[in-house]
Amino acid sequence: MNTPLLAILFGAIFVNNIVLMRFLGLCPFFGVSTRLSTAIGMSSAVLFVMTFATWITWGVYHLVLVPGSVILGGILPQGLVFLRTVSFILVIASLVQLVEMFLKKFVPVLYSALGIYLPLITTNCAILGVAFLVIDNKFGFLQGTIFAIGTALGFGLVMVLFAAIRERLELAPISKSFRGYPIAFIAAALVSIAFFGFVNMFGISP
Amino acid sequence: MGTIVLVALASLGGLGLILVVILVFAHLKLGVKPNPLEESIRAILPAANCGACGYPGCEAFAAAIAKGDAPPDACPVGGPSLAEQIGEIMGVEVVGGEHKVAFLLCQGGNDIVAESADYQGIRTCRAANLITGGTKACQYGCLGYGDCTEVCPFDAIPMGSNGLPIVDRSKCTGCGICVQVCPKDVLRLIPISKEVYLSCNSLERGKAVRGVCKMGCHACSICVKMCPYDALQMVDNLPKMDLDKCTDCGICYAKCPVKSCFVDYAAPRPEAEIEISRCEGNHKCFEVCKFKAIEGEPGELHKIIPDKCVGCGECVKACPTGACTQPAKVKAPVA
Repeated sequence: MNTPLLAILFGAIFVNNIVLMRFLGLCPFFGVSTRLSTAIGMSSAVLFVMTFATWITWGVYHLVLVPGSVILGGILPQGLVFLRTVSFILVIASLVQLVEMFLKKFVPVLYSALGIYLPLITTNCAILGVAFLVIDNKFGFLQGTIFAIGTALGFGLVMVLFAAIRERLELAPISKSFRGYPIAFIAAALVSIAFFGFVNMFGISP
Repeated sequence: MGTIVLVALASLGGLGLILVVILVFAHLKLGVKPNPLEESIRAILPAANCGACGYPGCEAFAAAIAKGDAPPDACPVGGPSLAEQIGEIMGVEVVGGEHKVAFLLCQGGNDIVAESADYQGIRTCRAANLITGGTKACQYGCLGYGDCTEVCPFDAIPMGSNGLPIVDRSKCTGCGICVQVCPKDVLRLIPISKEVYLSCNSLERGKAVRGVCKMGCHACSICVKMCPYDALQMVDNLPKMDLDKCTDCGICYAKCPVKSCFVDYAAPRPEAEIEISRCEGNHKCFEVCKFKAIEGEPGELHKIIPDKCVGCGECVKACPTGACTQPAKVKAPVA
């Protein structure tokens, strides 16, 4: 895979947007997008953790699990690819804990800014999804990093866009049965359709 | 096949072990010692993380108290006992933390209050109130479309068959959302221990009230005159209750000629009784009884005059030998 880095970045933001095209990370998307401030908080926490998680899981996969890997290649030539999901979950959960401790000690300002969103990310499927996609797309380390950053930026973009929509929805005259999540899902579907317009931009298809 | 299982187990276990070691090490090196105040407060909080205090969870709430940003009595789940404990930790005294419940200041249900119009609009109190203040002839009473029933997050105000909401005192948490939403201001928060309270909101004069409502207060002032504790006072054609003076004796409920503008949760109140074998005649009961319902000289056996006893229970509280008793008050169904 020798996709240019810029294409990977914009592809991850627009064409293969994690929320609207891949439908991952929907829980934080609907849960936290009610207000602009919380949407920005969540997006920055995701950017932070997604990049770190991709590094670590990339390392774990290529050093331990892949067939003929550096560590296990001698004992088990066929590799342990089937342990991918469970080991990634383990790694991501511990990573979030570690990052939380680190921030609490050295960057308390950032820690209090990210607040509750940091631990919430442990259960964010978008993080795990990106870790898998990096492996499935056979990205190298740098490509994977760019892909993770792009995906997180795409997540942030949609969060902010959608927070604006939902703040307006709150004041709109919506019939009672549609108020709240139903209208949010309908609005999300419309935005998702709009994002289909990006397909084949930069020569990338989903 | 055996190797692959072993290696899989070993590598996953090894991965877990490495992560554990890293985390433990990080905790030792990076762990920030939490504020001990915060820790001890968090330990006694209910740990429900319900957010009723306005903070994201019990931990954030504990931090806010320790910092001094939140009052120690802001946890509605823990109630006054918890507030006291927190106050002890923080070294501040917590006062007036009694649990409150909503109370409806109106008994004008179906067939009790006259209707003045036929309403075909949106079935909410707020909408009805916008159009000449609703359909009931009394401008102060409950409209009965159940806005409070709808907003109550605890299902504590079901609508009764008489068209009035009924506060379920065991479920009501005193959050006050119904009080805010009611367009007639006919709901009020009162302490849960309160047994007797006026249930009329009409500021009209007696004659006007009599014309439209069978249960409304006529402002006759009989309750004000009867109250032995001076706890009632006529303000704007309604007896206003001084909660500090009122002892919930129930005389106002019993003597009200409308039968009754007041609600008495303890009614019917059984009369007090004196156990002959235990009465030592120390006269305490005679002194506390405001209704002259006890007769007897100091040192002699005392007697209750059933006609005068209202069942307030003051003699029971005052008797040092436990001779004065009152058959368990039959709590009216919490409705």
